[in-house]
Amino acid sequence: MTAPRAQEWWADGLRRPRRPRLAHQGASTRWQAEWIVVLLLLPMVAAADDAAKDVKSWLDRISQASQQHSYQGTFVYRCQSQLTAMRVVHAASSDGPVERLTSLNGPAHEITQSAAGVTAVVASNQPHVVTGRRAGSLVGKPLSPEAVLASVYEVSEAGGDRVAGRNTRLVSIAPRDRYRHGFHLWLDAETGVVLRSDMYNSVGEPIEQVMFTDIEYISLDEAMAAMDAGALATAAAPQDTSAQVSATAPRSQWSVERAPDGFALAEHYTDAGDGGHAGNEQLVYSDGLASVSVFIEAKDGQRPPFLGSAQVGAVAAYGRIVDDYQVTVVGEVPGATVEMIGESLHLQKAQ
Amino acid sequence: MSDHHIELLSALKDGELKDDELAKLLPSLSNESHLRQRWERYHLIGEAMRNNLPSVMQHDLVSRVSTALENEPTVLSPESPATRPKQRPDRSFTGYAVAASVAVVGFLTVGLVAERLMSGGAEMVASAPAGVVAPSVGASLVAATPAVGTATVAATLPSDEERAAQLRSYIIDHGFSGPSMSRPLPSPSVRVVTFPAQE
Repeated sequence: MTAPRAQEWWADGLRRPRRPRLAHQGASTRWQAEWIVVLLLLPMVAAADDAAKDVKSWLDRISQASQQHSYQGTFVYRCQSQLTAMRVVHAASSDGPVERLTSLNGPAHEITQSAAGVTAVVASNQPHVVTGRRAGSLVGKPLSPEAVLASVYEVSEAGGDRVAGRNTRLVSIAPRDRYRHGFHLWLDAETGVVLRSDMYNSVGEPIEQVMFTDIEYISLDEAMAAMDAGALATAAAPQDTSAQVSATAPRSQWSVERAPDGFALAEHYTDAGDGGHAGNEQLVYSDGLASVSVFIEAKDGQRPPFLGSAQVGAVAAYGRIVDDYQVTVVGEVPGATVEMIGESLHLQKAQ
Repeated sequence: MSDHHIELLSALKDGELKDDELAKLLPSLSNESHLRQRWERYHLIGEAMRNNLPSVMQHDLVSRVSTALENEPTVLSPESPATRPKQRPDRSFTGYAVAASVAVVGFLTVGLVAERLMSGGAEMVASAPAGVVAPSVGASLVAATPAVGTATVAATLPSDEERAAQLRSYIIDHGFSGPSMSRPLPSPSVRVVTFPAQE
C-alpha cells in the first residue's frame, strides 16, 4: 500500500473511518487531523492574544503617562448642555499624581486631588476647604484589564489628529454590547497623555467630551510650584470632616447575581459609622474601564425612597428597596447596566 | 475695565497668564460684562485670522450658555411598573431631583459631607439604548441636540432635598472610586468638579 499524499491524510481519516486500519494507523490519522484543526485555530487564538496585548499596551501607556509627565494646561468639558473650561496642573510625584483643577467660568472653585485625599475650595471670596480621604479594600482577584477589556471592548487605532497644537494618536474603544459606553481617546503621540476624550452612547452620539485647548509639559518642580501659586486654598486651614471608611472592610453580605459580561467586584467600602450612617456599604463593580457603584443604606422611614432610574449628566442611576435597605446604583454606563445590577442585588441571609 | 485688566486678558488669550494673575482676573471676568465681551472678541478675531469662522455666527455665547443652563429642563424616567414593589404602590417614585443650581462646594466634597452642604434643583434625562453604534470621530464639542433614540420623560420633582443630596453624594463617592483606569478623562476629578454646578 502506497502512502497517501500529504493533502489526503486528513481527508482520508475524516471521510472514511470505516476503512480497516491498523490501530497505530488510525491513531496517527486522528492525531494529524487534530493538529490540522489546532493549526487552523492558531491564527484566531493569536489574533485574540494580539488584541488583548493591544488593549494592555494602550491602557498601560495612558496609565503611565499620568505617572510620568507633569503638565499644566486648559481644557473644556462638555456634558449635555453644560460647557465648562478648566485649568489643570498635574504633577507626576513619586508618591503618585497630584492634580489641581480650577474652574475658568462660573464661580471660582478648585479641587486638588492626590493620594492623600481631596481638597476643595469654592469661591475665592468665601474659602471653604474640606479635606477628605477615602480608604477601602480591593476585593477578589485583581482585575486583568487586558483579558477582560478585550472580551467586552474592541480597541483599535484610528489615525490621528492635532489637539491643543500637538500630534495625537486616536484610539477607538468600542463596546461589544449595549451595557457600556464607547470612547474615542486622542493620546499625545509623544507622551500618551489623553488630550481629548469622547464618551459616546449606543447610538453613537457623544455623552461627554473633554478636550485640551493648550498644554505645556513642565518639570515636577515647576508643577509643584504652579500647584501652590494662586491656589485658593492658601487662606484656610484644612479641616478633615469627611466620613471615614474602613480600610479593612469585612466581606459584604450583599451580592450581585447578574451583571453584564466583564463586570467583577473590584472594591468594597464600609462606612465607619460617623454621623449616624453606620452600616452603609459601597460595592464597586468594574470591567476594567467602566465602573458601577452599588450603595446600600438602611431605609429611612422619614425619607421617600429612591425607586426607578435617572440620568444625571453622564451618570446613570437606579434605585430600589431590598428588604429594609435602600439600594442605589450609579455609574457612567447605560441605564440598562445599573438596572441589571440593581435588580439582581440581594442580601445573603446569615447561616 | 482697566488697562491692567485688558493686559491680563490678552495674556490669558496668549496662554501667558500666571496662576496668581489668573486668580486676580477671574473675579473681574465674572463681574464685568465688558471684560467678557472683550474676551469673546479676542477669540472671534483669532478664529477669523485662522479662517475658522462658521457661516452663521452666534454672538454672546456666554450669556446664551448661562441662560440655557438656568433653563435646563427637569426630566427623568419614572420607575417601570414591572419593577415597582407591589407592596408599596403608594410610595412609587416618579421623580428624583438632583441640583442643577447646587452649591458648588457640595460637589467638591467627598462622601457624606456633601450631603450636608448642598441644596436642590434638577436635571435628569432618561435614555433608551438601542444597538451599539460608533460615532463619527471628531463630533462637535458644542453639539447640544438631543440624542436620537433618547427619550425624555417629565416627572414630578421630589420635595425631599436631603434625599436628593444623598444621590449627589453617591455620585461624588463613585467619582473617586473604581480602578484608576476607569476614568479615561484627563483627570478623574473632572466629572465631579463639573457635575451640574451653578450657584
